Amino acid sequence: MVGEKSLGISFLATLELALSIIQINLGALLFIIGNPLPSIFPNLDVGLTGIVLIIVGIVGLVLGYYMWSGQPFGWLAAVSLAVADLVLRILLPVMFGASWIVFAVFLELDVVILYYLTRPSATAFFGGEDIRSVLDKQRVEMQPRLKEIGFTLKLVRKSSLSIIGTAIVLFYVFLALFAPILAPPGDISQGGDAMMIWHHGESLIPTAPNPVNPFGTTQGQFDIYYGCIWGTRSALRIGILVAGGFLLIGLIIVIVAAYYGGWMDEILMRLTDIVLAFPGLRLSMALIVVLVPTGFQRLDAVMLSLTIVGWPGYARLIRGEILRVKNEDYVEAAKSVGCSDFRIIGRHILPNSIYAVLIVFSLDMGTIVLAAAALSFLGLGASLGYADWGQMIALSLNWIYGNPSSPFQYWFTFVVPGLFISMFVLGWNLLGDALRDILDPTLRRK
Amino acid sequence: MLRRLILAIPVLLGAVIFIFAVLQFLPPGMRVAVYINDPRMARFWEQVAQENGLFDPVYVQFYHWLRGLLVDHNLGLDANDVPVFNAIMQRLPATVEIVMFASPMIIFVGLTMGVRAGANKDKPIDQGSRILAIMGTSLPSFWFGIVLLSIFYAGLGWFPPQRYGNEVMKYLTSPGTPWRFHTGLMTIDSLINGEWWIFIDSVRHLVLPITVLTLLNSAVMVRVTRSSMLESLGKDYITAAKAKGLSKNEVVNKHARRNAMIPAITISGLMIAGLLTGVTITETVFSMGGIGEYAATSARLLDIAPVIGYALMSAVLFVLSNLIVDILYAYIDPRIRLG
Repeated sequence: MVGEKSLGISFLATLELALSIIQINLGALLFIIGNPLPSIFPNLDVGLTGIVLIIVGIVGLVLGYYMWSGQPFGWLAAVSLAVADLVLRILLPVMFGASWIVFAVFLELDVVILYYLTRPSATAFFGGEDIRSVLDKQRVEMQPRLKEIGFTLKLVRKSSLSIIGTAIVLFYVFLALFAPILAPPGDISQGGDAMMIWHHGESLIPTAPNPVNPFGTTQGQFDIYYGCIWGTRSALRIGILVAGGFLLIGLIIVIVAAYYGGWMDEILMRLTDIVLAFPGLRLSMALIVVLVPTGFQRLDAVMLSLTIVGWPGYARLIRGEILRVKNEDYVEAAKSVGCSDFRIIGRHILPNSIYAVLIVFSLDMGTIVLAAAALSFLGLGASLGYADWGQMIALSLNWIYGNPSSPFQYWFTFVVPGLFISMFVLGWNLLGDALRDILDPTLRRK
Repeated sequence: MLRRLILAIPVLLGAVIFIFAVLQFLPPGMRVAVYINDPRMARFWEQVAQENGLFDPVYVQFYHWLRGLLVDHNLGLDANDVPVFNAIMQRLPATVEIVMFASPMIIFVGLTMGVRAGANKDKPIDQGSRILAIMGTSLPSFWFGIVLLSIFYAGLGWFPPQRYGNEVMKYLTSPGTPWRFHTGLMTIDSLINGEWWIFIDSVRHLVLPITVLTLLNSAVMVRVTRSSMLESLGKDYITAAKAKGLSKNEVVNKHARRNAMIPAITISGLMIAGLLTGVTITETVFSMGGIGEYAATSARLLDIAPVIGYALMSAVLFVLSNLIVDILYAYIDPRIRLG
């Protein structure tokens, strides 16, 4: 039985939840509007800081949730998450040169939380006199969950596809994080923007791989190696932001609509009908063509259009899942004992419908990046020279045919960026397939 | 059936309103471009906008716009001052030709692979279908097309890009050529005209786009057919058929396959509709000159009218073909036909 809620814990949990939401929004805002205060943060790496803020914010959300709910192993989870948060906040800026100030603002809260969690009032909240008794108690409570986690890990080990998929995805995350070390920016032709590919000279004819350009250069002398490495960042960024947009829109609107039903649900479903009446790529093209002249940056227009085109699929999926879960007996039971709607959604409906969403998130990461690359290939994506795989393939279009004596002379201009895209999409697809077999409660014990 | 028909109308109307709403994001100064076919008129854009009612209340504008669409097929002018509707109609045969050959291939490969994979679960053919499915979802079609071009055009010289070769082009445009267009489809017209060499030439130009479309699009069909095959193989009537001593081939071909094909037919209907409204990327890679490539080229120049017209046309065609598939489906599926 969970103990009395102490004032300190509740306050800190609320603060942590609020600040985490602020951080996630800040991170997203950095992506959307760029550096808001160039005079204060002259060297802010917007993309990296944004990603880190979002990651740390999500960790914080989970931490706040555990502190609030007094879950079976809440204390242990809260302590480890607070430590993880602290370490992330110190480690990431040191490793990748993200801005210190942004992280320092939220640093003290972790320290305060850690201190409070060791106080008697906190241990009493989680059901014990001191830390040791809390830990003992929680060890017993965690047994069934640990067993389940062990089972999941066993399934992961057994499925080679999931290992390959995870390895590929981790490889790309590694490339994105260490891009400044793998391909140091700072060439004069980049004009201070690390996302622009460096190029020496303007000659259109690609150069074969050489010590300076490990994968050669493409049309316009843009370095293929640099473009591929930093292209990982733009791919991940597009994928995470668009899929995150789907997730947010889907979760917020549809939970309300599907759980409460009625006219809101009806309107939403008619809206999805209309958007789904358009073949996806064509609608994004039309949206971009309208958005760009009205003052949108090209990449933002691409992301916005992909979000507009893609959210109905999510909305339908989540709605279906929620409608399925909603009629389960345990939700009925929760209602009959008088649980609040918020609690039913948060504790009973979401955890049981989240698997489907997670799987589709993973599968969609690949699809989104593929669609963005296709738009870039058609010339609707980033401006010339921006590190982007789709554009690099578009630049190779004129170099498919080498010359009569060596027809494959310029193979590197399309083979290398194409492999980067294909492997990226492949990794996420494999991961999504494997997640489905492993996480879906109806499939995992078959 | 009637319910389907009635449900399709609000969706169509919604799609049209949606496109109109998207257009409203643009200021009148930009929307007026689709009415101006003389650069010297650009200075008087306000007057042109006035004449075309771009300063009217939104619902009046919508009425005029919709009327123009339905009565005059008015989709505006593109950057070359050609009416978009005419430009699309002119390029339609190239797209139709690709789809006409690609869809049977896709359906054939998808159905046979799917049925075989479902009947031989976890055997090599099933693993093969899995690889095809992973390829179909992971390979970017534009890259796959480029790689094929590099091997079969640059390397081997077998299958060139574009719709026809230089000699054919010369022959078609030379004065006094006996060539007559009947359908606009090169393969069929060359047979009607009795020009075998043109037929062979156009087939050579079609091989690569069709290969790309087949490999990448049949993946979905294979997965769907496979899973519905697995489902129908688990039904009681299959056990009954086995129990009365039918061979495995008979069970698969006569009993399981028919029912497994129903969802695959739905999918293929939608897929053909999707292809028909333009195979944008494939056409661009191989410069086939179809409607998809037209839209892509216009989009690159931020030429609004063709892209919007293309999206609108795709949506209308897409909804209508959905409707047709639904109706056909009702005839094919005995549960609906007799129920």
